[in-house]
Amino acid sequence: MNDDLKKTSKLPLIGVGLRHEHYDEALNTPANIDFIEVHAENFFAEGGASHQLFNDISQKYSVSLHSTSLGLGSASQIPLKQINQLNTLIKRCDPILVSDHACFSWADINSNHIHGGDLLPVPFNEESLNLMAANVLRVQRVLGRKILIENLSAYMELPGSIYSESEFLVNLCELTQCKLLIDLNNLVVNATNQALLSGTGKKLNVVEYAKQWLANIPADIVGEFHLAGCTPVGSDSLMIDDHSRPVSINTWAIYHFALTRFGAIPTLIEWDENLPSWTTLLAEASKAKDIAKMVFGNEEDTRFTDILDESEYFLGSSEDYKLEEIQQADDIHCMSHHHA
Amino acid sequence: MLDQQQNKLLEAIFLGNSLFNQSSEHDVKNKGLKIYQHSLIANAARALSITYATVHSYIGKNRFNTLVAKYLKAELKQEYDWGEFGSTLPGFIAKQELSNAYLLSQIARLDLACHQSERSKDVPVDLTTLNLLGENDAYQLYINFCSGIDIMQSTLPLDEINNTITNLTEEEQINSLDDVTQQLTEFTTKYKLSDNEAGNLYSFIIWRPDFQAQYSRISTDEYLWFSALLGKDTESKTSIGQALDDLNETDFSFVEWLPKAIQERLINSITIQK
Repeated sequence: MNDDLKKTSKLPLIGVGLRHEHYDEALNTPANIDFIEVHAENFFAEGGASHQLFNDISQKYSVSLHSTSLGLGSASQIPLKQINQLNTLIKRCDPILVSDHACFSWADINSNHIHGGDLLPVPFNEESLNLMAANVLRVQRVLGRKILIENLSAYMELPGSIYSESEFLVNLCELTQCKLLIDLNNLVVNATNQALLSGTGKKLNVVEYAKQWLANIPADIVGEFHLAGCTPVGSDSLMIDDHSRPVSINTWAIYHFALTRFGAIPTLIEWDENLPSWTTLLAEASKAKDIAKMVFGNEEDTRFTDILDESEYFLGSSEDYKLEEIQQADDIHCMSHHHA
Repeated sequence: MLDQQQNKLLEAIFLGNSLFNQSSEHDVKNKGLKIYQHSLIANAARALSITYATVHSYIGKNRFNTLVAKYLKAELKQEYDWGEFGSTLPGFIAKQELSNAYLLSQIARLDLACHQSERSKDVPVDLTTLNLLGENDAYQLYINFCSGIDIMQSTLPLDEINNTITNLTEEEQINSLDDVTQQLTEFTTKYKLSDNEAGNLYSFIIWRPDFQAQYSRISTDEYLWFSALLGKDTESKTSIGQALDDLNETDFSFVEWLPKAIQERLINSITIQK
């Protein structure tokens, strides 16, 4: 990662994830964003339309290359061909950021090397840590650059953890000098699911959970934030990180806290299901910029309710997204200004 | 320890098994596992509906998803790129108890060829090199075809089948998946009989002049011509002169074929190797 990304502007770089339905507008209409994130695997074809599109996107935007398939926590070896394909894309677009996840994807079934096609959780222990660190170091050696590692939304807890997730990731950064891509919505999802996954049934305050999680992270190892929204669920169901909605009020509140704690970190809006118009997606990016202005500008009188439309946090939301949380978010904002 | 844990989890995801005993304590763990199992099928179905777009449109989302779920259990995914996943699906379809399974497997072969064509490496174009054809020994000249060129043969006239379904759909004579199935069944019946009688093979060329793959039926002689030039059997390309020698007992005419090939943008350049 380019260490100057934080320093070149008082405000963070704000980008959006590029999806197929938006290709044409992304290329042919003006967009007030600082970068585009693409999923590396969507551009692994050797030629054809996606190859040309990748060239065109790289010409128009700064690119963040987000890989979703390395499976850096896999005990089964990651093929060199796969890392080399990512490297080929890096050489083609000179990305501002390169990232993947703290997960496993590869395993062996009946002597076949199988890829799960998903981001699968690992236990947070020494064995996983050493293995993931070795894989990250190998990938960084092949790529000739440091990468960012993203925290997961996990739908099951594997036995054998001795660290918390944040401790595990901090240790990983110490061992490999990689940095963290912190997906703030994943913190919300994990906090929401914690009551069910832990078997305690005790519902957590998601904002407080996220704040504590973030408080465990040293400021100098954070390289990017991801923001997204997902479908709210009842208390007996696991929340799925489906990236199907606008960023929730809780996640915006956590973002505000994170900017205050970590500084002007590059930030990405992700939206994958029930895709909105390109204009709506860009509007989400504008909200992120407005919240950054609340933190870094001279707009301490601005409140969340000035930035977010009332309809967005009430329409179709569950009981979890009510006025008290908006007030809580504004309280965080006011408190952080008093403490600053 | 960790490798065993990961192997076991991935196996449970692919095979749709439970990892944990049925008890209230383990209920939530199996719920979590189910999320990964559903996600795998959904991702695979999404990827394969792109690769096998025609098959998907002929059998519909529900039957396609059921097919994909069975396929994932039978053929564990070894590719990390979803775009490369599923090359054995045509053979798998042929073995299924599915209406018109054999016909659908042949349509799937054509879908796959088009998909792979669209992902293939771009080939540079230099039509000025066509001048080499008039000035040099044909045994030293090689044709560089356009991107994504491939050939295939089938016992079914796949172009006729696809064109018929498309036309009937546009004419609103096909209005449902049942209508498509009925039409495909008619083709299955018709060509089962003719195959038994004549053992016909239909030949096709697949290519992409730009980004979108095209396919077209070609004669058996043309198929042999492309096969020789592309080095399908020899694993090395054959010169124009040698390929013509190979076809000297056929009706293939290079003089007739060349302008048509140029017009259809099949040829990107000619190279000379002395």
